Amino acid sequence: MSILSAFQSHATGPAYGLGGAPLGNLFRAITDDDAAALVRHAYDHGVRYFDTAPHYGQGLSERRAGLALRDLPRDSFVLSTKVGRLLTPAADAPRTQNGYVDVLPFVQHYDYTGDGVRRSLDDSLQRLGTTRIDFVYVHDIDVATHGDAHRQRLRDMLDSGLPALAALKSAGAIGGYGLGVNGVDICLETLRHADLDVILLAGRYTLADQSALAALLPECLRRGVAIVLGGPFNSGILASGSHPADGSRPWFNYAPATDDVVARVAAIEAVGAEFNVPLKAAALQFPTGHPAVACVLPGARSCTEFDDNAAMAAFPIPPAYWYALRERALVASSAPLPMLPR
Amino acid sequence: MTGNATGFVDAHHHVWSLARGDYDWLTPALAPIHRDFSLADLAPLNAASGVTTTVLVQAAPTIAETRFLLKVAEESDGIVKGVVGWVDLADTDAIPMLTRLARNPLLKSIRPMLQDLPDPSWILRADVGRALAAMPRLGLRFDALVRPEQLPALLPMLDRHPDLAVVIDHAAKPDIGSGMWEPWARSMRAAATNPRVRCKLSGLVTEAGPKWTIDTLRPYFDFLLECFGAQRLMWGSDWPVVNLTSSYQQWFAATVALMAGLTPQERAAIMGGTARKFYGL
Repeated sequence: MSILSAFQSHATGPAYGLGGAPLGNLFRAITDDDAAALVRHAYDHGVRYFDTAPHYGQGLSERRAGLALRDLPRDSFVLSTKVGRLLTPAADAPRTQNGYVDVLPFVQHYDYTGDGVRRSLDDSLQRLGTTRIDFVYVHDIDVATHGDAHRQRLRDMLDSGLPALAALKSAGAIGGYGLGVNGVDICLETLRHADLDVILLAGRYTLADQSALAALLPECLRRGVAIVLGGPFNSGILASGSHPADGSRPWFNYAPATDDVVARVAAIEAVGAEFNVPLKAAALQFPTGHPAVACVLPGARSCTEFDDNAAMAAFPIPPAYWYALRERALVASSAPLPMLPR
Repeated sequence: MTGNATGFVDAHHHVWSLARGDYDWLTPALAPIHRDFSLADLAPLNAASGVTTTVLVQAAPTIAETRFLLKVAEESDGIVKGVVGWVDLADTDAIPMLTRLARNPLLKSIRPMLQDLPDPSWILRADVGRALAAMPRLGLRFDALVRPEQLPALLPMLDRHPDLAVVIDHAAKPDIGSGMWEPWARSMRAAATNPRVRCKLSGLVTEAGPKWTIDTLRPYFDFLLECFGAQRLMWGSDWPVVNLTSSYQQWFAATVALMAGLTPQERAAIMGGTARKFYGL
């Protein structure tokens, strides 16, 4: 199965997956029943790609995703998780960790070595209750996460972590592997040393941030690396708009948005008002215009949010809207316009 | 989130009514198809093969035929979800005409009959280029009806129009009956390097002649799959033209046989997903 076809469902439209962070109680708790209902609801509405990670609620997201998917034909969907963090039980583990609330009683430590990767995947298979993981992402292997330890961890990944994943792929245990990161530079650096099948890139080819356009996406296209675009709302601003209804400052890439970002998103909203295009619709559809993007991965914390995303992903956007964004320099002039098929 | 699309898509078929009088190429010499063909004739073939959605393609170089096809589509109970029409792209009024026709959302694409034009580089003319440049903004795609010798001119056209979505009809009609490979293969490979270009898996049995077998078609199918991948291939019946050397049913069965080694996702792409995405059905 080619990496691209793996992300495509039988159905129409660009492929949209379901991001698993909300299943791990990101920012607020949801019930096990609601988590299961959300996964099944997404599946019933055509989603065939589900992503999760040990990091999401210290294993909670994997457990919930695994249970919810358990009764569905395994060959009918694509499942991915991540490596790089091992979970160990700890009686005094905080109930809130890394923005996740009411998490499982585990603490995590980083391990990007081959041994760490194999153990992490074994643990994930147990939590997911499945025999196969389709795609594996090396999670958060970036300077921002690791600071001074970054060089060593990158070495661990390049010297033994990625070779271990390559061996698992050759043995048929996984379908493919790559990085799960939110930076362009780490992807380019890794691609200088290794071949990848797929990159889960958070927020770097969106309506508000096209930093992957110049170098990374052409390189991925040339090398046949599929991009799964996570974080299509850039931490919030492309969903809430430049002026959130509750009067708060919008968020952009894990921090309060700066004035220039707020102004640019406000200008995009003005074009949207002119053409009757909701910001969320444009945010979900913009990344699909680039042929390197195989799949867009918005999160949803409820069936209602999922339904809203689904409606926005299918919202008919006139080509003139995209041209207006380009002509007013609100998107990069070389960005492919998404009304074109990918 | 991906919609509830079920059933296969036929990305390329025709209907015609000879009395309309603008099908210059359709002479009595083409006996098997020299009669009227309507959606009513197609319906049982769709039903038997599981096709629920179709794309209706122009067969005459006239605006009148395009309007006729749009009307057929409107009255098709939602079966025909897209029309590939014709406009003279070299005409001084091409852009206003494209603008008027594109108001009908069923019009998805424009197909000049390039294969019948004497100038192989017609597509590179400046006046044609202005019309092509206007099409993406109108939501229109481009169906390239070309023969192998016209493929080289298509490549610079793709570079000049980076927003235009293009599908090559009938895999550019390689002369399978004579065992043609080069220069067709070289040109197709070059076209396929552009990720915006799709290819229709159609018309092959017509080019193969009446003695075709699965084995005749297989190297061509394998090559197209290698160049484009399933995500950029779309199946079309090319009915009723397919009747010249075969039948709808035989070509459908041949396609199923050719796809035997593919994954379910790849088969689903060729039999619907690619066309749905490309034409926005």
